[in-house]
Amino acid sequence: MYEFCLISGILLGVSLGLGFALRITVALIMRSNNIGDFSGTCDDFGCGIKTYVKKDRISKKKSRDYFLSSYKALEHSRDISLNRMKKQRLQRIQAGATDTK
Amino acid sequence: MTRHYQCPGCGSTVEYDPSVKKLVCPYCGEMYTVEEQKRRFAVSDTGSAEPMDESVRDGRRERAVIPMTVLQCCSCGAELMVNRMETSSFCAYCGQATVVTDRLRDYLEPEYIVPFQVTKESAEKTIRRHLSKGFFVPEGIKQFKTERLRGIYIPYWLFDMYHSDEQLWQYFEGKQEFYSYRAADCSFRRLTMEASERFNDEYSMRLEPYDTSKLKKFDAAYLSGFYSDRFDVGLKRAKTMAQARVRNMYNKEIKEKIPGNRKAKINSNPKTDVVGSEYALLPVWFLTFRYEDRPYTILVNGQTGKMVGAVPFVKTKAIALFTVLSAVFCTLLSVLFYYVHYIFAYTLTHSERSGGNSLGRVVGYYFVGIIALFGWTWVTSIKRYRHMKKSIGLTCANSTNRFVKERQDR
Repeated sequence: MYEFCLISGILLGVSLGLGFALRITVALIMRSNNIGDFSGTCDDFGCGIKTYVKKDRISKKKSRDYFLSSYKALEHSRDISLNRMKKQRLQRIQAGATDTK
Repeated sequence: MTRHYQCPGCGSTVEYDPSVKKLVCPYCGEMYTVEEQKRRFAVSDTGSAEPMDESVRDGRRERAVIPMTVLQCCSCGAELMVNRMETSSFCAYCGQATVVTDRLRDYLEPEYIVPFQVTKESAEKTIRRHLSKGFFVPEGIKQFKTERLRGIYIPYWLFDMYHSDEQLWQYFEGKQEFYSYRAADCSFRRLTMEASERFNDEYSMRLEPYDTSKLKKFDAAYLSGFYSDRFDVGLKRAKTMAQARVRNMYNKEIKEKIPGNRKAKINSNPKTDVVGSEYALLPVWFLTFRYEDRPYTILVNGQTGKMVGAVPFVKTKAIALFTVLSAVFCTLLSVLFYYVHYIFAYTLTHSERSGGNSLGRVVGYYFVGIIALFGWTWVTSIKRYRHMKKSIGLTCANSTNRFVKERQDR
């Protein structure tokens, strides 16, 4: 029993130890030599994602009609948002040179 | 046709200075705002208009070899070579800052510009500071000798967009299958899409975000003292790319918010609307240096001062660190696992009559967890290493070097 515990302990310890060491080394190299990574999110370029309907743990696959009311709510919000954006854009163009958020 | 912005005092060419945010005469030291320049300045034009290139206006792809156009410097009369995309440059003989005005007029003048806010000196200082701090950065790079440092206005399309989608996702909690429904939207304001074919999109994307609330109405006087290009990625193509980018960002974020694992999108009904677009010039500093005979081009966002680039690492240092960390982690974890296994084995042999099954299950979960952790460390390490290699590749790419090099020196 003692030998089995020792061998399995060393095997797992070495494989995980090497993995952790590699992970930390690569992370430190990236921190030191790779600067300015950025890919962008919805928050960086816009107002972020607004969720209107969120349903989790649905047990069976539903057809699109099942979510009809949600879809209609989204369509309505789309119209409102598009109008608002067009209006804001027009105001921005009329305001001229320097833009304000 | 080329244009110089002349100082009303001494007649020499003024250049835009980001540190004072004014046009400065390098000879008499007079300073003028861009608005004052409109009222008081004499502008000196020379040369004739060049023929318009329809392929560029349509946004069709440029040829790999960039032909040069010969114009005349209105200060010394020497030949001024500009590549087909440039809208401002310098005379190689007298160093005069020159704006190619007919290109700006003929190929859709930019609506907005973000003037340089980071000076040449502070851009170089930022790069030196970052690189000198890096533990794995080779000494040759820490003490780099600048081969070229150029401020270039890069053309960008800015899009106001709205994206909505209703999605049905399938996911698993253990072995049980579930579904998740999301109806959400997102509006984007002035999403930046780089519009230069020759400048690598992935590299330019890392320079973002720009503060687009600080845009100024375009004035060619801002270009004086810097290089600048016109767009060669047409609006139609840029729009398609922007829509794809918006969808990717949206899907990625929604996926992160879906619970469980093994997530798969089953149904979706995406709608992306482009509310409007604008054409703007945004500032970038390009610093090139050589290391082991290869050119490395590091970028600095000319507005925010954000630095982008990756350099090779000292392999001996990396191997030394890996060896030390391996020795420490392997020893500690081996001792820890030995004791854990000993406890398991001891408990299993002494509790075979009562509760042996439940302990067996715990041991099973334990081994599965260890294997998962092992896989995670190796997979993420390899992924990160590949990403690092890719970043180094972007920094020393010949295309980026050519993009900066194929311009007249001062």
